[in-house]
Amino acid sequence: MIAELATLFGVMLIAILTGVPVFLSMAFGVVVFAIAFAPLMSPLVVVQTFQQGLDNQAFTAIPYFFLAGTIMNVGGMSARLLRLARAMIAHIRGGLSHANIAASVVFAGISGSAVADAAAVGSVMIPAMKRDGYSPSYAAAVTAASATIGLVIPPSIPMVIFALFTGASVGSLFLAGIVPGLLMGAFLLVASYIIARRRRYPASKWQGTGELIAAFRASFLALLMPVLVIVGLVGGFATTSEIGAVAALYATIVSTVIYREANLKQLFQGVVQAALDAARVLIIIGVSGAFIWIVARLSVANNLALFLLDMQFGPTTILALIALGLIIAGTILEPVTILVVLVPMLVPAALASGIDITHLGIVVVLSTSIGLITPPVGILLYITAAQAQAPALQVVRETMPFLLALLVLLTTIVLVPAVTLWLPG
Amino acid sequence: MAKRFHSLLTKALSVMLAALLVAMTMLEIVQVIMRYFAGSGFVWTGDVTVILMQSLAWIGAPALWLMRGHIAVELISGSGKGRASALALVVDAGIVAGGAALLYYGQDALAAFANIDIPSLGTTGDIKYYPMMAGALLLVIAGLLNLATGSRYTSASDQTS
Repeated sequence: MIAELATLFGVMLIAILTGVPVFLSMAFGVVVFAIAFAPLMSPLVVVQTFQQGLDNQAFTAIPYFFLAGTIMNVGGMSARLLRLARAMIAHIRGGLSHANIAASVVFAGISGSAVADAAAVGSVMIPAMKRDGYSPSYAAAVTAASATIGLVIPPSIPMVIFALFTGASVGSLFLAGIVPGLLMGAFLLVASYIIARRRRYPASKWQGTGELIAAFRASFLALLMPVLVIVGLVGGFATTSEIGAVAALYATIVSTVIYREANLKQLFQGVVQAALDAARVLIIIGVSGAFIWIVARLSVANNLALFLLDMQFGPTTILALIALGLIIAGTILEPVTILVVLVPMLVPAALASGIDITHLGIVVVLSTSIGLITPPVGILLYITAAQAQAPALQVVRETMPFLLALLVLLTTIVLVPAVTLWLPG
Repeated sequence: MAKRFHSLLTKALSVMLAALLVAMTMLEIVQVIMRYFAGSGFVWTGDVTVILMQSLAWIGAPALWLMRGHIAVELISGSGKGRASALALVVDAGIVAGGAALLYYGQDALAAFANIDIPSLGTTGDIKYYPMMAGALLLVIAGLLNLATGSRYTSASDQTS
């Protein structure tokens, strides 16, 4: 089994690290495996598993949630949410840094994608922070760190993928993500406040309760979307896919009919963008069908579960090991690859040791979201560094306090399941 | 000529992707409406949305290939023109070979599933392989077009996670 796995994962990792697109790297690993260990996997099985990777209606939820988030974004929601964030918190020392984090928290509730959050929040907040005297690298760092919240606060596309690959309840995962997501915001705010005091960053003028209420009213319909999604799922009114489609319809109506901020051209561009974003993820899921077939054929998950049970590790130790492993994997791989390639192998071991599947899901998603800001391959660092026109190495350095805050939170969540489980419970 | 075709194909695939996503979403919404207001939905909606989603993935793949927009680790593609060009050459050749192999072996899958019925659609199981076959063909074309136009890697900072 070791030789088979080493071939499969070795070829895939070498290809990924050489810059080959992830889906092609995975396919390359599968093809080399099929040739090296013929007749274990015939070419017909390779083709079948590529097709069967996507032969599941539940996966249709992924493009719908991309569509809902993108339309909300093109419909002017980001400006409204940023106004709300500034009205809430910008008057505290280091105000724009805090507002950036608060904006990511509220934006996370409509997008489900960390990159979308970074792009939307960063495009407005980074120039504003630079004008206010913050260093470009700090502005980029705080934007990147806070964008990770997008994967944890519902609706979250990685949570949907985790649920589809493990059989967990999407509704429970969404509910369970609320407290950790808000805590991510709180931990990052504490780090931001300490930095602001040390560096004597400025505070913006308090704009009054009137502005706060006006900003809240202006963004109310956007804030309502995550509520509708969670109520729909937890209340059992519709399936995850149907809720996703209804959320997309809601976003379209709010953006075009009620706020009238998106015209037909913008709407079309939003649909194209959402379709491309969804295709990026779906093609990886499709190819992962072959990976899952091989892993099942080699009984990797069962063997791993037996090994961990033999070692007599407790559930907390196993969960901590999973979190550590995913953070290390996250320094190179992005969340979707981790979720479709590594997580299905880990789940049986985790469940056999008594870890709650929802708790596991939150730890997995939080760990992979932290991977988005860890070098050498932290995609958010590079996006925000480009937005701020700051050297990536300086952005990495400025991100360290925020990374530490998120690691402290992850440790807390691993050690205290109640933080995650009390709301769905 | 190749550049013009590259651009035209990218645009055509983008429009097709948008149409697929809109069609999927509308079908799903109609299904919800039918279930709540007419008591039951259509039996074929599930299978049709899956085929549309597979088409979105497999037609999206060549569209993203033409745009150099697939999720990738930018250790090499972002580190110097020469290496990025060499990488582009290798992966384009790789996708042409891979797409051709998928087309070749996909024929066996089409034949194997041509006799298996999908009752909800009133057709046979090979229909679910057509999106992949179309995607494989388009990936070959996309790879060849990238080779012909000398398309290189640029920053993939619009990737999704």
